[in-house]
Amino acid sequence: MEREDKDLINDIKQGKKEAIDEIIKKHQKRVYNIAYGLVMDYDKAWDISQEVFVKLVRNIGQFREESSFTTYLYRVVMNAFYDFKRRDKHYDRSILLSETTGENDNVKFEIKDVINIEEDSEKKFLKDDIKKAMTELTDIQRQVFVMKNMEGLAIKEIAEFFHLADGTVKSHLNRAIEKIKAKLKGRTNG
Amino acid sequence: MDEKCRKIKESITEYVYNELQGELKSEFEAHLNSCPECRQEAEQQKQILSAYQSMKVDFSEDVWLVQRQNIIKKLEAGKKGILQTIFSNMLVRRLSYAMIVMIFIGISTFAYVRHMLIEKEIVKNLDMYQNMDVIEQLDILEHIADNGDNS
Repeated sequence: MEREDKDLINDIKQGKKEAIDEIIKKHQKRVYNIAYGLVMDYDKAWDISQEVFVKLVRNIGQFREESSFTTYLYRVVMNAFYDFKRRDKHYDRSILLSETTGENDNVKFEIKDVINIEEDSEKKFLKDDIKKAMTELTDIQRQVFVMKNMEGLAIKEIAEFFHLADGTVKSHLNRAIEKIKAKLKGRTNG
Repeated sequence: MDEKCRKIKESITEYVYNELQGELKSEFEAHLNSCPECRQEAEQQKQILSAYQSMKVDFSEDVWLVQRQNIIKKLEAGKKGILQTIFSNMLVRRLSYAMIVMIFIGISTFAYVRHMLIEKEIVKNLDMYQNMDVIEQLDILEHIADNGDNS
């Protein structure tokens, strides 16, 4: 049975290693997909999501349970996204991997090699266009769009998380959809 | 696009995300039934969102396990090299360089001042010895002169 986040956090604070593995296992798919939604790149999302958990565990003492753990986790993901963007100009995956895996560990692989997505070419083109369109969104449009579509948060929850008005969130979502639509150029049945 | 369509378009995002409730939702759906343009717009948005949502990634459990192992390794590496972690911070590194330069300047200044003080002391002592020599010679001359007078 999956344990509650707060129990796992208490265990991590007490130095129980198994709790670290458990909390990562519980949230890694969600964190990876948010990161993927933000950067639209399998490898970059892999690195960002690893950074998220490293930071999360190292700074677990800062989590005061004033907000829910999920909200705190989203915050760490967004910060990791900004950190990533700052160093993205000099992005070198080999550096990130060597930091991650240690000097003697040569586990290097491309994420695209381990995923198997079979789909017809029409769908593939549609997704490629969506990817391209996503990279053209502003940070906040992308963040709002990802939280809505990857996490399924309500507009009100997104507004609270980003300290925005509901109307502003709707407007970001609208603009994101409009930009994607413009990129698709009639690929959808519209 | 008439006034009703414009109004509907404002709520289309909420509709496609199923966030329109009660009367607003019924009103919206009634309009979609009578307006092919708005219906097409809603359908298109739903299609885009469905395609995007289907881009969610999942790996086999082996791959997720590799990620967990990587994270744990990184955390353990961080524990071992706490000094390394501190010095990897650019600000700390710059402060360290500044401190090294300041310590070097301090030691050099101290050595220079000390050297100058010693030199001053030597000069002072030499002067004193020279003066003592002169006094001694005067004493001898005075003594000879006294002896001469007595004889």
